[in-house]
Amino acid sequence: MPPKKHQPPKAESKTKADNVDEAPLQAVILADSYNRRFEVLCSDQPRVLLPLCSTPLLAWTLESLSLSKVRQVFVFCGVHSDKIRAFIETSPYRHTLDIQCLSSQTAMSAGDALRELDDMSVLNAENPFILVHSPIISNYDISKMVEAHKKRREEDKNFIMTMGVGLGGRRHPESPIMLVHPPSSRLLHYVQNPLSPSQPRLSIPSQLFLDPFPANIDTYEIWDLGVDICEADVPALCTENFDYHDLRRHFVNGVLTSELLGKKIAVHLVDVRSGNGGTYVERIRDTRTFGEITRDVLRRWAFPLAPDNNEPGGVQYELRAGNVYIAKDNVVLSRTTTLSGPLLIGPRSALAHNTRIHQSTLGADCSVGPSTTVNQSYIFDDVRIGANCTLKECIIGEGVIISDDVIVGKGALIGNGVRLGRGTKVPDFARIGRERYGGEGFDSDDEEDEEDEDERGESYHNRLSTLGPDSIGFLWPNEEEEPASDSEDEGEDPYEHPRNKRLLQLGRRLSNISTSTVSLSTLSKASSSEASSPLSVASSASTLPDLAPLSLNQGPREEFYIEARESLLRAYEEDHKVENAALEMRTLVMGENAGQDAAREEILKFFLSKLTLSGGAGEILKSTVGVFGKWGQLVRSFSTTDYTLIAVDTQKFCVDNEPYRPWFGVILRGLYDSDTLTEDELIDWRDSSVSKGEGTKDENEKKIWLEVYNKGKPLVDVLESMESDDDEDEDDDEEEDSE
Amino acid sequence: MAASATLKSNDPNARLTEALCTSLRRRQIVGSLNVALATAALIQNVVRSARYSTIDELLGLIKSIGKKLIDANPKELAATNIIRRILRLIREEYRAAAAAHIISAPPSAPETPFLGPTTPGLSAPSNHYLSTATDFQFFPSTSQLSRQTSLSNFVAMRHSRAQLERSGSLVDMQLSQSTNSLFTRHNNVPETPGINRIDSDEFMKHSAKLKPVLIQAIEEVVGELETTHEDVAKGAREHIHSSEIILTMGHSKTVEAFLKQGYRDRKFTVVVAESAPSYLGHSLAHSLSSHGIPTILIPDSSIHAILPRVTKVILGAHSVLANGGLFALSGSLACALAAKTHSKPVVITTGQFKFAPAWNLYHDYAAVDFQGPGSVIGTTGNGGGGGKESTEVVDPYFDYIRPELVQLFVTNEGDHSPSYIYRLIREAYDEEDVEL
Repeated sequence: MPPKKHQPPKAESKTKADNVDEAPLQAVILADSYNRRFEVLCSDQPRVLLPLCSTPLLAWTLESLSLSKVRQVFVFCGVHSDKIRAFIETSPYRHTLDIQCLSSQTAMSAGDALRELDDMSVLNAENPFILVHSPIISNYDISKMVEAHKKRREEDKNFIMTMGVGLGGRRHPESPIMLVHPPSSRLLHYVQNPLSPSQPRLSIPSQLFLDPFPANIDTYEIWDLGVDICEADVPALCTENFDYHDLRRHFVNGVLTSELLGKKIAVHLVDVRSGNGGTYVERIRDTRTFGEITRDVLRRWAFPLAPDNNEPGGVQYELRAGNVYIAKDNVVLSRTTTLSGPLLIGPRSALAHNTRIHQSTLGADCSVGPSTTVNQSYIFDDVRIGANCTLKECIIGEGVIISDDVIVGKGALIGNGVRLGRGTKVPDFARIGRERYGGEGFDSDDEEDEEDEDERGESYHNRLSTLGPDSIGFLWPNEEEEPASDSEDEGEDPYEHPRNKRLLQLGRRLSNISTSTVSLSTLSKASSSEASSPLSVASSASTLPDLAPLSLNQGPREEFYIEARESLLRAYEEDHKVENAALEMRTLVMGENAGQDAAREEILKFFLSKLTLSGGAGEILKSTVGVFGKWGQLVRSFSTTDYTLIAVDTQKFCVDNEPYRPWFGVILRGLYDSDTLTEDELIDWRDSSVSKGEGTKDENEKKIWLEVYNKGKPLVDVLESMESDDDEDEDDDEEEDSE
Repeated sequence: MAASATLKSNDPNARLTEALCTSLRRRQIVGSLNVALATAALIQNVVRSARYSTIDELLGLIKSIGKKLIDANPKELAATNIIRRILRLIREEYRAAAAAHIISAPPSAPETPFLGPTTPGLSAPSNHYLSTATDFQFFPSTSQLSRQTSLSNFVAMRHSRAQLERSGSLVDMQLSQSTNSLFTRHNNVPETPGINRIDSDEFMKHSAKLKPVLIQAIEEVVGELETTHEDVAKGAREHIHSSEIILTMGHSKTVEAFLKQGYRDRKFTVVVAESAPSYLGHSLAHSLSSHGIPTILIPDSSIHAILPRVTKVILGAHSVLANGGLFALSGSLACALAAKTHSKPVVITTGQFKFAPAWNLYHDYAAVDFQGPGSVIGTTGNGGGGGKESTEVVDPYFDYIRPELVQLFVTNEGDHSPSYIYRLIREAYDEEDVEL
């Protein structure tokens, strides 16, 4: 290695302790987005070199990573890798970082990229690396995230990845819902949650709630930062599962739902409380975030990454009141220019008189003609704008020439090198590229070359009326109309839904879409000790506020009781065999995900209600023995663990139904006589505290329990005294019963 | 200086410089003292290991580093202050060595008509001085020179001169003339061809001897920096009376040491403003109260209301300008103005390394170092700028306090009034270094 690797002695001494035996921290930047959101601007340059505040996104990303003590960076490029290489060759970061460009023409998705990365085996297998999905701007020290990940991994080797999540943040059409186990920060469930069309329902497997799970769920408004700490297992897993394309939708869900892998994913909350330093981490995913992040940078959210302070491109800016940044290099401002911040004007730009610039960025060497208004627009380098133009919430590519009296509607994207003729009105959300639209499935008849004026149909005139005769460029179809880029697979991505894609565009207002505000209904009817029936939870937004504590002991659904009663009634009236009735009940219990206890209680209840209470004790005893002589086994077959519960349930039934109260002793006797209960079980019942009314809520209820208990107690006392006589018989009986 | 004076890109010193610049830019090193120490360490490294054949080359080298540090963070004036001081010290040491050389072997260089070549650091004009004005002793005597090795001695010198001024002595005139002539001489240095006449072999012979002396001198600066807090705190007893109520804010290490030192002899109460949004006041209040000092923490909004009960305002400084004004943690201006309204004295405790030969920095809008809005409006809720798009947040880190609001500077080298700061600065740094 040439002497580039020299580190400052200060940093060395500071990090020596943990650097001696550790390899340098590695980061992987996926330079390709694997979607088409910036395509019109990226015809001749990669997305990572788009200028934000007239500095390429890659420079911002490298600066952000440098802040995080990253030493080695792999830039994984797809298209235009030569441009990325050229940029890195000339960037000052090659002195401080070990940057390597990996290029691949074949990778069509993030999954492919990781697979190729695995093939290249450039990563240190022992240490985790930082995976950056999109260009990021951050003042957060990501190495903290790495530390937390390592700590987690020391405890549990199965954590292969830590996803960075942030607190707060704006609403974004791609905000997932994450279910996290708070003490271990383990990610339990991941659901994509597009803003539009909003998904009113969301299903979370109830299984997740059964593991040791705290009664209270803290809910945060969090968002996915697109920064992951990955172990070497992650690329390896991608290689094993070649159908993983999207890291979130496929990989994360694949790992979470696969019992076989047994791997775990954690989340790391970038929090103000996690220490000093910034907590701003944002990534440029689409034109919408491009605009938002530009304004954030100008508002100094990413401080110390601010244009006047630590501008990665090395341009010097002067900060003026109201977050107005003017390059120190030969900017010409007219006396009548109105600047209202936050805005940035690049070096050597010239603004003519009566120009109004509002919350915009102008790149280097731009010129703006007189009486032109630029509103919330992002103008790249070397753009000429004529007089009396109005630009509104648009992105203007490099080298674009806009003649006089042009109106550019909001959300418009004008690709590099386009020329807009005099008086052109660019409609809202239009995309104009220098090249013809290349998407498959879009009829190329719709766009015609401007220059050849011959065989054009109506569509040409359509376009001509939009762009005017002296424009150069092609009008692209609206973004939401374009077919999904990956036909086999993207169709199922809820984020790629046309309505959701619209919201990713610059200039769209999220407040316009009608989503009911955040609400998640209480999981009030979650089942108890049974497993794996999906619960339906109503939800309609990206976050889970006010999620009430889960109450897991509410018993099965109402339908179960109805079904059970009907089934028992049939069995009773039609005199089914006990085995058949038991089978039917069991199926019902499984199907409804009810528990044994609920089933037994229900069966007991049913048969007790069939007893005749008229006549004296003798009659009642007779009917009890009659009913339970046959059905007692059914009851017993549903109490696998503790037969004493039968007595308790009977007692409960008697407490709940007043007519039965005086006859509890008799019923108990009947149960004993019909071998539904054995003597030992009755003694256990007598001695247990529940039977005496412990655990009941108020005094009154307890009194009734005790009263009923006293009805049954003499019987047990008598039985106990004659225990010696039929002890063996009872045992035999019990064994038979339980078979 | 000459192009040769700039660092080669593969030089380890260039790496070090670059690293310090980056960490200044990224705000990984903040606080005047930390910056000053880091700068001193860097320069010491450069002096130790860089290759230079003449003293001017070395000075040029250090100046070029200073320029880079200014670019990296123009608001951390301490970095350039330290550089200016080291430049001064190098000149002093060199002059002392040269003078010693003259004395030890005055005519040992027969090939030159004057004493010049044996004193290679001295350029032609000084020889010229010596030749034309023989009665004027250009060099102060060696004993005087040896006294000038550290800044504290400059102050001692100033005191002696102040006495002389008072006594109206003529010698004083001569002395001050000598200092002035030092400046003027050096101002002429770059333009004169004499620089080329320096015999580099001759210099190298000296530089071998000179290097440890220079390093030693820088070490003295570092030592002085490290003891700044204690030195400032020494005077606490004289400035704090018993049962005073003292208002302060932020968490200045100097103020903290000052109050703790003062509490050994006097019993007083400290009122700490919490200093939003950094809330440094919280940590100061905690530190003071755990030291046993009765401490009251107040929100910044109560500063004006509590001031009638306060007897003295003691503040720290980020940097002190030549006019006696200063930059201090934001909120300090509120304290100082409130103190002015209520006619309470404002005392600034600061090390002299924060004295910067700058006058017009406060005209620069960004000089107060705007921070991000995150700490003001928070990132939760609709944070990240979201939902608050229409609200602009202004969060300056520093306030500029005009000199007339300050009664006294308590420094590690005695107490001074704001109007005297320019004089101290003039004596501490060579005039040619004011513009690096």
